[in-house]
Amino acid sequence: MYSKELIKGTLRTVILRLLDREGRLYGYQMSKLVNERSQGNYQLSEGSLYPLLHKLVKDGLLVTETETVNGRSRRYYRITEAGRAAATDRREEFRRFVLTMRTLLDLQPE
Amino acid sequence: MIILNEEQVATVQAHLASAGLSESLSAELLDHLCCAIEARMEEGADFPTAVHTTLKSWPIRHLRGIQKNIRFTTKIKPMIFRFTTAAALLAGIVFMSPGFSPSPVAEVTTCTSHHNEEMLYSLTLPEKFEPPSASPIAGVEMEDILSCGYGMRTHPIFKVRKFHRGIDLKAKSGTPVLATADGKVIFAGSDGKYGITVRILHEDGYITVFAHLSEHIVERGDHVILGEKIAAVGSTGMSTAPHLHYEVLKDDKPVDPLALGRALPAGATEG
Ligand SMILES: [Zn+2]
Repeated sequence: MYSKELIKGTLRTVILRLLDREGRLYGYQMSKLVNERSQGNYQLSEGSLYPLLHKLVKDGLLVTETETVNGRSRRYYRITEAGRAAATDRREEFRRFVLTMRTLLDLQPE
Repeated sequence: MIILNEEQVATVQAHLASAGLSESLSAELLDHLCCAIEARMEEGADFPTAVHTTLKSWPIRHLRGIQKNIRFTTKIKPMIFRFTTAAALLAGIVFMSPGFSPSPVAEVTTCTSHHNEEMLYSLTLPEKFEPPSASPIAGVEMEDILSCGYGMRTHPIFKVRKFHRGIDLKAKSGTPVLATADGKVIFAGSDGKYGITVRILHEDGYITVFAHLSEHIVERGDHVILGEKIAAVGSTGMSTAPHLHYEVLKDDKPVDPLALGRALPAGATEG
């Protein structure tokens, strides 16, 4: 489990990358995938996931599609072309950030 | 695979209803909670236990918090930004004025930095982004230089009927091309049949596309304002003569650029 600060600073990058790879997902699926892929270390709270998703829609990076599944209405989020561009930018920025942190914190690969 | 029945879903819905959420958020969270409950039942828990464990981490206070947070990040935050900028400008004017005394500035600062969040949450802002409707060619109406409209047409090279995703505007090579709304450049470069192309992302899911350019002046990542020179007309890519191919996309779907100045296009409303 990582601190709230670290999750907060990276959630947008993680979600955009996830949708860039998968194309279309619904909220529960995103938290499940992130949880699984991080072996439970990156736990995102719904309290920050949904506000982020709605903000990304507002910014034109995602669009929503509502479907009825198992008798319930399910809202899918699909990444737009602009979203893909943002996902690439943020991922690249983070890659450089990791390299900088390695130098700053004197980290040796284990 | 376990799927909750209607009665079980109604139990979860009742919990959400007590939080007084908006209908669309309530439906979205209902699906999320039901999925979480199903996953716990999948692992062997019975329905009452699964509901109890799931809802324990979703108290009413927490649910209301999500709604507030959504309203804060999508509506209020941009407004605070504008408000703060306006206040800073005002403070600057007061400061610069000859009869300046420190008290008015103090008042301005107080009202921006100690804003009551509860009060902000209760504000509703109907503010909406105006879709890009300006002409990309300086001083000329789009209608006056239109050589090919939006929609079905016979392609000039392939002689087949094809959907035209934008409009073609007749202009001499080198004519300046202007941004039709404020936004951020998400692409500037060569793009296959489109030739040299600039794509700009605007608020509310609008993207404008300028194709067959002779050159682009802006680069990816640049912020542009309405009327800013971004490129020059050309004939790069699949083009027979110098012209500007201009597209407006709303949520990745093309809309008629000429219709935007008049009224909202079909399908461009929020849903
Ligand atoms: Zn065209």
